[in-house]
Amino acid sequence: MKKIGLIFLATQNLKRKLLRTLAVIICMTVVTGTFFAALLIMKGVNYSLKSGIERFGADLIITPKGTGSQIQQSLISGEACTFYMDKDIEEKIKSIPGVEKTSSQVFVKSLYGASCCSWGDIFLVGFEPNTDFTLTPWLRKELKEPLKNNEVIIGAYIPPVEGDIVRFYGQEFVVKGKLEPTGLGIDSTVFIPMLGVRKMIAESNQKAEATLDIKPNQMSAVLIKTRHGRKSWDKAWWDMNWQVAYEIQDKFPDVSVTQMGNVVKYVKKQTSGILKSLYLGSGISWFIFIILISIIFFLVINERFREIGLFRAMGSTQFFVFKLILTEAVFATLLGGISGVILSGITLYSFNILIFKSLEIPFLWPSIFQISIILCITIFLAIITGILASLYPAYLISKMAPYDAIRRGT
Amino acid sequence: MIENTNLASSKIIGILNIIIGILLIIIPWFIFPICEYVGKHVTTSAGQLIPMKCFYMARAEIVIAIIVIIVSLLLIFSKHLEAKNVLHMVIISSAILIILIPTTLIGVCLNREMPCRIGTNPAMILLGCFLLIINLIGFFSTGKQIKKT
Repeated sequence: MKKIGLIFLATQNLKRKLLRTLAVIICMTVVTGTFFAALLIMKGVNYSLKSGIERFGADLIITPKGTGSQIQQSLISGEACTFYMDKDIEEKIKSIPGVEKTSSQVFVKSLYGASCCSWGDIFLVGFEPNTDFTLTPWLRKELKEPLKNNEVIIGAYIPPVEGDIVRFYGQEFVVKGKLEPTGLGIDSTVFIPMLGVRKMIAESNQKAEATLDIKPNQMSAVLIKTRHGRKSWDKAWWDMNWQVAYEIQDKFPDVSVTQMGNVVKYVKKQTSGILKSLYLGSGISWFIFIILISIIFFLVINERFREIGLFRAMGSTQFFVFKLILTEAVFATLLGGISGVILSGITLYSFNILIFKSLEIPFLWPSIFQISIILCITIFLAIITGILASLYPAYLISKMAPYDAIRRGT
Repeated sequence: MIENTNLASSKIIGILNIIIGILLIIIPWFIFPICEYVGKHVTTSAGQLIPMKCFYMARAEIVIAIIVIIVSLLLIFSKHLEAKNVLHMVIISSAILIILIPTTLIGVCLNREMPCRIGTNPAMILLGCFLLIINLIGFFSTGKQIKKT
């Protein structure tokens, strides 16, 4: 014979009133789903900023005047931007006190739907392998030998693997290295040595479907590493960057200076708005649903006075009745919590690129350990909700004398 | 032939199948449009515009979705448990095809940021999984009923 215990009774009661149980489960699915998504987005954005922008070797980026927001957008989403300025400016910037290293880059956008390009709308960045100090921290494997002019480094989201051949503007390049995922625009960028890009530009009129009109004395951006002896992101680093940025802006009014610190600030501001609405939404719905679940359990005990009274008359303790109501509530909210986490996780996993591209925020999946912690917090929230919502109804019914309970139930 | 005594669950599954079938038809064109629908094509060296992989994937999914809708209608109106079981099996095979078409059989565009990769593909796979799960439930529950009777 099956042993009738607490768990058995609780599950049978939940099964008996399936619609009510489903109502509790749906309420909790909404709360935990939103809460789980908010926590995951917060962690994912912070992780992306840490492994992306904060690891980026450059402190300042110099671009032509009025293009600051474009380069910021490119850094975050990888959307190709093309603008050019005179190459001489790099030498002049080097002389500014506080500038430790500089490296120039040329930006090109691949042609969409053209047979001369393997992929369309890809951000192609021509960089100086000898002076570059930004790509090395992201390389999955260190390059054994210097990059040749027909070799490229590609972002983590670009499909080919090392050794594959890609074609841009009719030129063929061998993929020599792949970068680690960052959640930033770098993931969808192709980095080509400067001489390779110059050759591609020069021969575009013969080999490509469209000619690139970029002169040899032109470039798109100068990346700057400032001279700050201490750790990045501290006050001294900020002060030094402000000082150098101010000086460059003062001496060269025709350029835009983008501070990496400000890019991080922008992303954090952008994210905080989304997170605020998610937290507020899940907070308000949590509060409403606690009351709702509480009302549901008041209704449950009102219907079960007789049953509980009989339990008590047969020898059940007050604590057993209290535990029974609490177990039922926790089971229902736990199921809701699990389904909320699963639904939210599946939606975020399946549509993550679409979601974060439209929200314009960087995102990188946190580690399994971090996801497990978020999962535990969410499930804990579901359990606590069940306990809080059923605490008072469980206390009320457990305190009732068996005779009173049976009489009220008839 | 054994007549079904509990028609409610298979009717619910049938209606859900039809909703999924309709979604499979409209998603690639309206909800999460494929590249073709947002004006992205491949240009051949002769200058001709041709549709990409995702276009053919969406077409194939429509054919399967129509089959799912027709079979689901039969499922709703069928009264025999054995027939329902077979119809569930047909929809299970269709669901597997719905998942395989965008993943291995035809596939979608290679670039991770193309509209078909970020929207259409995951939506199709999720709908296929959902269709598979509910019809597996239907298949096993009708199987149980057949054994009982």
